[in-house]
Amino acid sequence: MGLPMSPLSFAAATFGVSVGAGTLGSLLGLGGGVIVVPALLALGVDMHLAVGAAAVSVIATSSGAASSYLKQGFTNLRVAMFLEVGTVAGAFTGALLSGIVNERALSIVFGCVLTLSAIALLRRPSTLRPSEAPETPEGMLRLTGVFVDENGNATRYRARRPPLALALMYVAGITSGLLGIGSGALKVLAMDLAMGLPMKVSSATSNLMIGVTAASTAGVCFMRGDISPFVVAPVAAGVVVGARIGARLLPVIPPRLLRGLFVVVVGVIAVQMFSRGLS
Amino acid sequence: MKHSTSLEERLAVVLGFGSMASLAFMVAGFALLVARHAGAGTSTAELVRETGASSIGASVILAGVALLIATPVCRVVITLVTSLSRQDRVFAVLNTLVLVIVGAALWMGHLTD
Repeated sequence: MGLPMSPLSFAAATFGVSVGAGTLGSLLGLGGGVIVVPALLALGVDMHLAVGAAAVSVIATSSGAASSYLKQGFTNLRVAMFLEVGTVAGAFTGALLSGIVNERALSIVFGCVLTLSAIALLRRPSTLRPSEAPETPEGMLRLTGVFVDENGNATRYRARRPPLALALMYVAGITSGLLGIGSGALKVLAMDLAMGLPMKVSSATSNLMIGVTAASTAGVCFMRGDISPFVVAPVAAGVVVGARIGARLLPVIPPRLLRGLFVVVVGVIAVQMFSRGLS
Repeated sequence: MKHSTSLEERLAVVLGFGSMASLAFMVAGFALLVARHAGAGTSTAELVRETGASSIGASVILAGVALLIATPVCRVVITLVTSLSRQDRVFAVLNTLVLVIVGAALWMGHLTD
């Protein structure tokens, strides 16, 4: 055990960190595992139990936040349903490739991809309008929607390049399956940069998708007995609370601030990947 | 648009219920777990390493976890049923694929125990 703590102190610390993870995760469309796993490891929890708790926390973040975003109209359900085929297929492929692909090399590649994507995101003009949608939805996918910004202005948008986005989701799923990390960051990046969706729509839609991706991981952990009830309870409780907080903040937070926050978190994940690959 | 709005509202209810109900299970189970072990002076390390339904509290927590895992799967099932009822074949196929792949992943994970 890393730090000598009383059970209640451990639970309180875990709960507190998880509130932060849930808040950030729900705001940015990430699962929060990037915060939960290192925190639990620092508290002395074994890696396989930390991963199990993190997988559960991703579902908790997703369900808690997506519930609000669906009501608020930020989530594009059709985009989510279309893209999650790619991400779950990728995660399944990644799990199959586990043990075959060099994970250290993949961590470095993933770190590079995240770094370049963060740079692209920083360079994307914040005043760029989302791809405007025609009045009548086109094609069988009909990946359009209406986004209401914090000033109450409604804009119809259209998701561009669906095949490219689907391919990126597949890649995101593979990295998730291989590296054991959530793919929320890549999902948001793909929707923002490739599909041209508004940032808040990308975040909210990613929140919905990560739940089902994490369900298979969490289900496997559950069946293998890699869930510690004493650890998972405060983690899940914390992220649900945090997700609710994040869901209240998203409608009012300026897109530029949201984008900046996302870039910072992506940078942290990239550093973690480089560290993992080079260690 | 009207149909989509009501589907989103239904999904919001399912996801909200799933997250809050599982939270209630976990809070209740955690209280039972701590109460059981408080008197025994169990260390944090022992509590952390205890996996499985070793006590009533742990069982209640794990029931909450199972409910939480089932929540996004239920969401996909609802969208599948809705796609079928609207004869939206493309999304019915997509939703079915998601369920099949998730099921396959769970089955494989079970096999590699």
